[in-house]
Amino acid sequence: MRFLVKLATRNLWRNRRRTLLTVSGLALGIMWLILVDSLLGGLTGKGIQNIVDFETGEVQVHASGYFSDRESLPLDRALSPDQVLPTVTSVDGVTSAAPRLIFGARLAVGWEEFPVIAVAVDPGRDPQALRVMQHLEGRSPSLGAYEAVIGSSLSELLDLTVGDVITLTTRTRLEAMQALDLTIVGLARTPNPNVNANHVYMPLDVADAALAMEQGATEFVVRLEPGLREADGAERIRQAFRQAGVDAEVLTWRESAAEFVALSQTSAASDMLLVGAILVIAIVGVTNTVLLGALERTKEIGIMKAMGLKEREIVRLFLLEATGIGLIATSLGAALAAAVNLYLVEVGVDVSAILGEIDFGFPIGTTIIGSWNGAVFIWAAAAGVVACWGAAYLPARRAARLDPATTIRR
Amino acid sequence: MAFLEIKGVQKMYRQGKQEVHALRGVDVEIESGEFTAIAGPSGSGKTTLLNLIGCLDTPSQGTIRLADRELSQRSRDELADIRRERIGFIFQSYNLIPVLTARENVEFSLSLLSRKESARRATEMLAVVGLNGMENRKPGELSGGQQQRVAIARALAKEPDLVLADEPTANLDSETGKSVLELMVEMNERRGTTFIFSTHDPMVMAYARRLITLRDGRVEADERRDSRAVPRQAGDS
Repeated sequence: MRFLVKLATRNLWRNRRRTLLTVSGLALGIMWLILVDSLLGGLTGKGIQNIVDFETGEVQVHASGYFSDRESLPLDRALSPDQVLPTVTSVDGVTSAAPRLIFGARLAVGWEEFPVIAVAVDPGRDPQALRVMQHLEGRSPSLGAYEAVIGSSLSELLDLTVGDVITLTTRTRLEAMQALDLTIVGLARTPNPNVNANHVYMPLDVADAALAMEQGATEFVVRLEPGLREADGAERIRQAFRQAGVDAEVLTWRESAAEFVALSQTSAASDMLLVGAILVIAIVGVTNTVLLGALERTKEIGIMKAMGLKEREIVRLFLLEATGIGLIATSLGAALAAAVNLYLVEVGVDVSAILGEIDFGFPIGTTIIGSWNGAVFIWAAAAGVVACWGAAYLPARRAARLDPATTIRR
Repeated sequence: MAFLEIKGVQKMYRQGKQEVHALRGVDVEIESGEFTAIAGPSGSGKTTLLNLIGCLDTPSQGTIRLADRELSQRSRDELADIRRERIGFIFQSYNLIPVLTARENVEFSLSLLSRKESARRATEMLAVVGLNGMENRKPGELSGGQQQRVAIARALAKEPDLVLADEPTANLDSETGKSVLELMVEMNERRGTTFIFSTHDPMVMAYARRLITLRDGRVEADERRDSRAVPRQAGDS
């Protein structure tokens, strides 16, 4: 075996250019696989962070039946903050909770109207739960004041700025028409493009009175201690509600942002298919290299068989050569991927000039960043080597079955 | 019982739709330690017979026994084992493995037998064939004669019962060919190794103690000699 390893190593460098081309192809495939995984991880990770930090928190509490009807943003399914907040904030592992009243509205500017999502917040509690108010140009709206914060993209679209007055038209809980004139006191420029594009924030008490909510909030966003799984936190809150006799539905961000989770999984699957296709091309290169090597060395194979090498030992020799290609390629690919990924993770790629705020289902703002996934390095390396074996096996077997009496005479 | 028994051996090949009879019934017995040349014109069946004896091919009909082992019905793995343990090959065009050094080429055949100290043994064998100091040269850095000496060292290092040499001097000039033959004679006499050559070369035939002539796949003549036709050089045993 030691000698076969030595021979395989020497054979690898027999046709350096071909070996290097094969290694390069496979290394690029491996690198691409790792980087696509990194970017997917980064997109998903940042998307999750932006959803959790700016829209949902880790856990959301609604009145029963709200979630199934959430697309219509119903106002008749609300819970009282006085009923919910003491229960939720007493749960072990909950760090903060904030009530929100979310309703659909039309933002009127002159003769034009735009559909927006209006979010009425408690200016005292909301910054403890979500980070929208930490990304303001201007200030947050004050309780009791007819003031608003609008998303920066929306402001640019409508050419609005701080100090302008907007009119929100909507329906109250009792289905009466309502119009609210609000002065813009801040622009929300967050990493979450959804928030920037169509959200309008206003004080909870003003909205509560205007919409005849009678101190009802449609959503409570809850933040948990770091390290506590959202499913565990949600379960603790459910138990607390059961004990308190509150009829509420508790959802994790994964449940409330199910579309995003599904999209990220679909996207991962399609991207991995693309990577798979690239790897297949690289593996065809390995097959080609082994096949050419076998064709060039038919006489030598005959000699080795004359010396007493068995067919399985010849196969082993070619598989060792393929292993060499696989190991060099995966090492090179992983090293290159690590170098590029370091930049992607630490700096990221600002795509604002090309794409603006990325809004294809991943709420990630203007910068694509990578992520570290040690498992994919190991997985890619193992897959690379195993793929090389697979690619080499048939040509190796073909070579091993050559008739020595014929090949020696060539 | 003879060391090698060939009885009624026929070999047919198919070339397209035609059947080619390379051997048409060969009967030969060779004793251990014989130094035999198989001569004959091209197409007479010399190489085919050598391939059958060397377990590189199997006969269409007839039997071959080597050291009491029937070869005809063995599996490919069993034939590989026999080649590995009992047979050394020397080829017309040396057929060394180009990526290995002279020592490694010899060591390779020993490593297949898991022999201990195979590197030391390979170096010794190269010294025996007169290649002291050339152990680390690759085949491309050696002359034809030197390469053939490496091939002889490779064939003999594992101390086989039988060495088969297919036109071993065909690619060598007469002086080098002669020295290579002298070397094989010495090995034959010193170790008692059985040598069988296929050859066109009158010089090789002259060195042989037995000359089997093939024609059209049959044994035309089988001549034993009491002494070699070529006088040994002074100092030779």
